[in-house]
Amino acid sequence: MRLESLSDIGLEKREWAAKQSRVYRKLKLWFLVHEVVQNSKFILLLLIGFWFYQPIFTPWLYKILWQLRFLTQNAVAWVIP
Amino acid sequence: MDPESAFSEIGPRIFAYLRRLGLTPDDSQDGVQEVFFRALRSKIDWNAPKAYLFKIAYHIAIDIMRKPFQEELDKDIPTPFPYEDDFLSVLHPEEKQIILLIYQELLTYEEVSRITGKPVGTLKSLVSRAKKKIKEEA
Repeated sequence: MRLESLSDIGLEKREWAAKQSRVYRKLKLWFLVHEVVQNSKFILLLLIGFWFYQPIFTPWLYKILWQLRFLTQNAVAWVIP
Repeated sequence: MDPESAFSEIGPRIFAYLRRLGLTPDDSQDGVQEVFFRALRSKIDWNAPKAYLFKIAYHIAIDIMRKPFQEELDKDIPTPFPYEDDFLSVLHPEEKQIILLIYQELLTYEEVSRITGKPVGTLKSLVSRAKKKIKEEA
C-alpha cells in the first residue's frame, strides 16, 4: 500500500458495511433524544421543580383528576349563551 | 445532499480515516457517530458537507488519541487492521492526519489548512517530512 493507493478504501468500506445501519439507528435515536430535551427544557425544569415540591406522584394525579372532573362537570359553562 | 445520503457516502470515508489513524473499530464507529451528531446539532449546510465533517473528524481523532494511557490498558487489545504494508505506522499521528487528508481524501492544501488551522507552508513541510520518513523506511 503506497501513498497513491490511499484513496482506495475498499477494505474499510467492507468493515463499515456491517456497522453502518446500526450506527445510523443509534445516531437517529440520540439526536431525537437530544432534540426533545433541547426543545422541552422549560417543561422538564418545571416538572423537576414540581417533583422537588411534592415528590410523591399520587397527590399530583388526584389534582389532575379533580381538574378533569371539574371541567367536565361544568362543561355547560363553556358554551357562551 | 441530505444527512442520510451524506452518512452513507462520507461515513465510510471518515471511518477509514479514523481506522487508518490507528483507532480501534469501536472507537472509529463511535467517532463517525459523534461526527454526524455534532454536524446535525450545528445545522450545517448539507450541500457541501465533506470539509466540515472532516474538520469535526480531525478534532475528534485528536481527542480520542489523547485519551489517558490507563484507559487504553483497561481496554481489550485493539484489533489490528489487516494492512499488508502499513507504511503509515512510521509517521507521527499529526503527519498521519495530514497525509490521510491529502492522499486519501484528495483535498487541496488550502482545504486541509482550513480543516486543521495550520498554514499551507507548515502543511507542505509536514508532508515532505512524512514522505521522507516513508522513503527511508521502505
